[in-house]
Amino acid sequence: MPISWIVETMRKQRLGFVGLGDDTASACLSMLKIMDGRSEVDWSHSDPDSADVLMISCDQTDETQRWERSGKPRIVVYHGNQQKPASPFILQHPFRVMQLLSVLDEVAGTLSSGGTSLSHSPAQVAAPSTSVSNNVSPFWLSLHEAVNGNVTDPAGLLVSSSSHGVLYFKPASQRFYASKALFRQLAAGSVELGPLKSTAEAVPEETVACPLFSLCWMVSRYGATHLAPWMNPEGAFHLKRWPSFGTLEKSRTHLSLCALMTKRPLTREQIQQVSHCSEEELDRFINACEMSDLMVFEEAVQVPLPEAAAEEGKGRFGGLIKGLRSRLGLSA
Amino acid sequence: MTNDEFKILFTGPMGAGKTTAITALSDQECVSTDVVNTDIDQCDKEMTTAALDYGFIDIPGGGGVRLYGTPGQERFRFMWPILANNAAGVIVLLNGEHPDLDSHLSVFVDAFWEQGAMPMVIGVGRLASEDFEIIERITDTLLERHISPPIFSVDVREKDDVLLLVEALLCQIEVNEMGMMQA
Repeated sequence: MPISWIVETMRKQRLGFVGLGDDTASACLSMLKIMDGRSEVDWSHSDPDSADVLMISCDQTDETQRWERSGKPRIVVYHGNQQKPASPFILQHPFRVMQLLSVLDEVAGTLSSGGTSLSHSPAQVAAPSTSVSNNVSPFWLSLHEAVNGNVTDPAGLLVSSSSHGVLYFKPASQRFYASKALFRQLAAGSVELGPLKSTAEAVPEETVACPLFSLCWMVSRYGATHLAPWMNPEGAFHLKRWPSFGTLEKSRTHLSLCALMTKRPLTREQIQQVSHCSEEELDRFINACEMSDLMVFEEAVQVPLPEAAAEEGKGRFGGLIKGLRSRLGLSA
Repeated sequence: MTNDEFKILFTGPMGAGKTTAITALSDQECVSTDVVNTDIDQCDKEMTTAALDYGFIDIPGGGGVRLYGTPGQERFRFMWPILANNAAGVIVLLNGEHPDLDSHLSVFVDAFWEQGAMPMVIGVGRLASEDFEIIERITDTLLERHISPPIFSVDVREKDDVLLLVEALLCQIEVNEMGMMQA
């Protein structure tokens, strides 16, 4: 999947390893390659001297103690049999790609905000702001992992922090839980979510539930500003069924997209040609449907549009439908 | 029906709101063929439709849309295909809190789905605003039978909700008009 266009617009940061075992360092390097283009910034490996951020063992050695005094932001790596370090950014070894990505984005978010909150605990770190570039938000990435079963405990609970409250996600039931106020903020697009992380908490009683598609739609406006990088933009897209609308904005654009895309596989160009939907809106719709497992991709099937598709309003009912919309005030 | 008219059909069980929906859209007073309801167990209302409801939307510049409502009781089922003849699409209205919801769903979708040839929208009424479980259950039930119309939670007393159903139906009719059937 070509993602060079994403990377080109990213801020670059260098990550240095201090005191990590060879296996851990090697695993981290592999993970950085996997993450390429998926983080808020372009992370690369460097020696500790030239690094912007250090990934450092919690073992107290001369080397680690010396680098602790360097003043550079540090991600402290510890093992399960060690005491949890009192540091803003920590990773328990062994860790997964998403966990590394999550903490790197937290560090990046803190650095981009001036680094003033580096001494805060992880729970207090504000959700990282998404980049204005063609990027995928940490929340969207972590949700992608979760809905695809790439979580430590699929029956467990995940949590995402925001400046307006906490969102819970149960992968097993594909339900989100949060306060009504937070859902309203999400629907209004006025709040951003941090990456989903495992939690031992229970869902608070005062929360309300929200189905997967509704939440995906709410956050897709900033989840991925273009087609998510794991989808082939040249493929054909086919909706398995109409989404459960729930809190979805019920605009004519979305209804038209559903009607079109449930009929047969269509490329993005074909959909735009018929629906006159903007590229951004279409990509957002496809992203939300894909995340909700409503989308079927077909790599090779690209059937030309019927001639009638290009002749807007020329069908048997074309003029009547236009008149009816106008009469009922339904015109877009 | 002339060439500058088309027909939208409203169907569903007794008390689902067919007459209310047609009244919300029609330019003229809805013509109803009400009789005394003798099936109080199914729906606690005094009168019910025996043959049809009828409304009309006049389109400026000529033509219009005929709105027909079927009787909700199965004993008047013989009227359903008569009213469905030449319809551009069908709006199925269901009462989300009725104990026979699943049965109603099956009866009315089976009667009008026509293997997807007839554009269809389902509106489920009387659901709490946060209640998406019933909509999802209906969706899953129909998907098991490879039926996938749009399904909305609606309050047909609200004209905007009725317009939403109409718009979803029009979008499907338009797509069918384009010849966009499965390749």
